[in-house]
Amino acid sequence: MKYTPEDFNTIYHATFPQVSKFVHFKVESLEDGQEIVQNVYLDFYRYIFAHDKKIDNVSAYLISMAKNELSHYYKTKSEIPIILDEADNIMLDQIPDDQNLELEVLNRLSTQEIWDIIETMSPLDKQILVAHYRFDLPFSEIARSLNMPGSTVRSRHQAALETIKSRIK
Amino acid sequence: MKNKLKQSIHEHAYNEEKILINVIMAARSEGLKPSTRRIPFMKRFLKIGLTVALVSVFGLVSLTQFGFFNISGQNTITAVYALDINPSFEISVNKNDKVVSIVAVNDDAKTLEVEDLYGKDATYVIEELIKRAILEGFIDDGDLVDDYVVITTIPMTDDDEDQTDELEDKIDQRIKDSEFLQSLNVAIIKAELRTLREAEGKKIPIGLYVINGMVLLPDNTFISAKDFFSNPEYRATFKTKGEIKEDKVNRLKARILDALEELDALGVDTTEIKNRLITATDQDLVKIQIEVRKLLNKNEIGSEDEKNADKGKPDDVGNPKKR
Repeated sequence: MKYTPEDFNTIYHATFPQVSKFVHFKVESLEDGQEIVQNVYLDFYRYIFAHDKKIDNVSAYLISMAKNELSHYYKTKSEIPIILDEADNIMLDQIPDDQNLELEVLNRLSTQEIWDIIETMSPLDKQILVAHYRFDLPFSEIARSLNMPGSTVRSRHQAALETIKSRIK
Repeated sequence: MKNKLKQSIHEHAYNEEKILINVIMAARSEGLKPSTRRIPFMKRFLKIGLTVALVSVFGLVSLTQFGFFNISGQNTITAVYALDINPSFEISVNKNDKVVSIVAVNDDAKTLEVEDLYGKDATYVIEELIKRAILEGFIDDGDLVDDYVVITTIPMTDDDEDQTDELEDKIDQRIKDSEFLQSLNVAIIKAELRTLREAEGKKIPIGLYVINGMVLLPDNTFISAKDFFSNPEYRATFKTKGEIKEDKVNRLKARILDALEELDALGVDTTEIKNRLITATDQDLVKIQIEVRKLLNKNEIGSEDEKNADKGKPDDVGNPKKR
């Protein structure tokens, strides 16, 4: 079967969150992560329009492509890759995610102003914020993905919010 | 969206629509041409029924978060309208002629704001870009130099040709109501995706590439759009393959009168010319236009084009220099 542009769009929207989340915790910078995701889908686009072969498990195929992209990424970068610990052996405290975000304060800013502040933060803090607010991941899962204590994740998250609030004042 | 922090991050981090547009644009620039052959309906329904359900869920999330409904396929590019003024843009549209992306082809184009034009109708965007180019000084509609903009329509597949064919009629309709479009000549021509890729590979705006392909020139010589359209033979050649919506007579008369007022202010006697204008035919207007242009230059109030009279660089389509 030959895939059509509509098929590509359907697959793209259905798999985007999963692929993005997978890549997000394996790169240090948000920009690198976005570029890798883009490359994955561009490669996928090239593949499906050059071949007639049907792909049985598209999600798994895309994750494999993402792994290949990441391998290439690590070769061109000097940093040590962030390894996802797939084993479920780490016992984490149950960390409540409800936060007093002082929404009234944040709502004074435009989304662009808020993002401009976030851009100045460390890659790790950005990574935590994106994981929590973009992918709706709880702190426990973020902690597991980053291979660090949950309390650290929560503290860094809180510190990031404090940074935003302090810039408003 | 109650939480502005969440909204900000959704807009700027892993933005699903922005990344999709980038993927489609990159694929298009590589000339990837998807098949339009459809698999049998029932087989397709069974195989992707689950993914369609998933898309619906994510679509509802987008509706809640962004306040609009993201319909699958709305970002599929079916045609590209290349607009060469200078500046030069490639405007990608979906099947409804709504703009999916705008690519600045040259440095001058990068100076114009275009983000607010995404999602708008193609002819509105074309007019708006021309308007912004005029306001930024890329086109001087007050001088008496004929200004041309070239619109090249490129369908992505054979099935999309009807859509690109309709653009000419839509431009006609818009010109009737648009003072900006009436002040210049709009040349419309069709091209293939292959030609667009060739032009992109040579880093030449597609409109300029196409018109240079119509004339026999020595190797590595390029003619600007201004010089091309000022040659009656070349214009006639263009008209065999494309359309030129020419500056209306009334508008030309108005421009001549504006120029005469400038000369009056300098103390130049323009009475005789004004008298001739009253009964001037179309051909007379062209002669008067040339005369007045010479007077403007003589009194040093002509455009940079007239003063410099250069041939233009490959990426300068309408006027060689921004004033």
